[in-house]
Amino acid sequence: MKSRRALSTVVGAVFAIIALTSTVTYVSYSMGILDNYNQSVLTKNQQLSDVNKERFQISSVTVPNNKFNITVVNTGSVPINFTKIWLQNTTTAATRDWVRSYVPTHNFVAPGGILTNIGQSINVISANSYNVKLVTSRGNTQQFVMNSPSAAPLNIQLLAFPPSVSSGFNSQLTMIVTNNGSSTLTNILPNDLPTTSPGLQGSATCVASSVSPSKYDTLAPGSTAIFTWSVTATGNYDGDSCTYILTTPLKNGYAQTVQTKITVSKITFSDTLLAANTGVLTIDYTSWKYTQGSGWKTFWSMPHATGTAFALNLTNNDPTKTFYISNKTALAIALSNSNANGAKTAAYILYNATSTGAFTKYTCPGSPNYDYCVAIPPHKSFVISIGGDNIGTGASNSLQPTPNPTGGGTGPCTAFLLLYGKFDTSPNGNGAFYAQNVPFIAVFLT
Amino acid sequence: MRRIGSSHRGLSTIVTAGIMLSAVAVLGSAVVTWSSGNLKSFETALSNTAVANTNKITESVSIENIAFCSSCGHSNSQNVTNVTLTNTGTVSVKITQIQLNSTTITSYYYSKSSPSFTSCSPPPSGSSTCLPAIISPKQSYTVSIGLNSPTKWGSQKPDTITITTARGSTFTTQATPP
Repeated sequence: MKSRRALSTVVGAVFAIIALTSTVTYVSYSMGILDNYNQSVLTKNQQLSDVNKERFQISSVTVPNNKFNITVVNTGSVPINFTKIWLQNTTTAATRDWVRSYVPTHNFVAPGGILTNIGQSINVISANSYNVKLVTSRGNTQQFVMNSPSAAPLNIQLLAFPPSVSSGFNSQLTMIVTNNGSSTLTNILPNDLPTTSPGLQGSATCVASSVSPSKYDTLAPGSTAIFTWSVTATGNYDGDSCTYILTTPLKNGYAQTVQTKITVSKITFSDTLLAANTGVLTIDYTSWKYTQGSGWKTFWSMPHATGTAFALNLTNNDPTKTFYISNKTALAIALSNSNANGAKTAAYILYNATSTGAFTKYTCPGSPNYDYCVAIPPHKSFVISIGGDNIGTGASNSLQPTPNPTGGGTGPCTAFLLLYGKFDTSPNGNGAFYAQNVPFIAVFLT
Repeated sequence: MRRIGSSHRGLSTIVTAGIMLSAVAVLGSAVVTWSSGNLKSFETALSNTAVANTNKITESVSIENIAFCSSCGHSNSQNVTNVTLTNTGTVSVKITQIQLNSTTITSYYYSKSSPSFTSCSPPPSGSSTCLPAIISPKQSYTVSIGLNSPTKWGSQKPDTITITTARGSTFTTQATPP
């Protein structure tokens, strides 16, 4: 009986070993399969990670000798191998079907490195526009447009800062170009600003400087380029304006119209509006002085019935035009304690008034018109001397107050400078005539 | 009597033991055979599944370039799109379907250099309804897909292009016609 039990035990053990071996084999095989699968997953993750780490920027694109020279910077952390360059001729709608692919000869760049001369084997026409796409071995691509931001309208704004300026002053014309596309644009430069209608319209004269900067080599998606011009706006009347209308703002660009307007306005001094288009004459009251032959004085008290000369600084604030003073300019003097009809406008421009010399009326030296010979250049000052004989006497050429026409007058006295002249480029030109009443003095005649 | 009785018991015991041994052997063999077969089929299924999934994981297709061709069908038909696919994975890929804006493309154009990529019989040339294209690793393949006239690709509106492989992977990109 013992030997029979041993036999069945052996048989059972054999089956158990077979079952166990099969199970272990299956489990081992499964583990092997799972390990392989796991390795595949890890490898795939590594590849996807490398794809995400692969980054590069196109730093410049030029076409020397009608061959591409693309420079790329590897900004990622993995090496990049460029496998293909796609080219589409986008010069016109008819050429868009021209699509080619090339394998670059310079194609490897290490992390942080710069790869130049990409596309040196590709013949292109520098005047044409191309849609270029670089493809890496990992399947990443980056596209840019060579010479032509014309595929679609860009976000372009044309603004004037400030939009309203005084005549002769500058406004900064600003063009803001935002690449709202998905590809990098290259060689972004604006078209020349129009100088005549229909691109430049309005009654004011606007003259623009050259653009700054002249060009952007590349403009990545989402980036903005800003071009500026300094525009001098000149007008004859308040409200004159010039409007720039750009129908194709960028060279080889999309036909889209942007426009802006620059208005010539008046200069505002507190509550007073002064015509900016004809200039402004102001005087420096602190420079006021008078003489009656014994030195220049700055007192506000002065004897009457004596030949007197006044002098002070007169400034032409017009930024561009010279003011020519007419010999009709005079000083209107009135005693405040007399009737106003006693005032005489006898004071006149003096020639080379000195503190001790005789007062000589200024006369124009000659033809063609014997006038407008005293000139004040733009933004310059001039010491104007005004005077006359016997200020404050009953003489016909001086103050003759009523009700005391013969005895002269004393007391508080005021005077206004009646300036006549014109803004022009020469004494005999046909410039804009201009007259201004300038409060001149406040003295006390004794 | 004692000898006779003892002899009967021994015979029956031997017979019984033989029967038991036979039964154990038969049943054991059957169970071992059955389990072995099952394990084998499980192994095969597991292997196939693992290989299929591994291949599906490792297959990678880059939609490298999309060129909208205005006059590739006929003049200014604006219904042909050239799609360039590159196999960036490590296993061959069979393209079974291409969709444009969820519409399955049924019209393809094969150039003379294309037939080596196809498994169509006979190899197509010119316009054909046959796809698939088989792309080996690191190789590129350009297929011209045509919309049924008079349908055109939408101007300035993004088109969605979806590629489906035989393993069921899909790859999608978008492009905007001029």
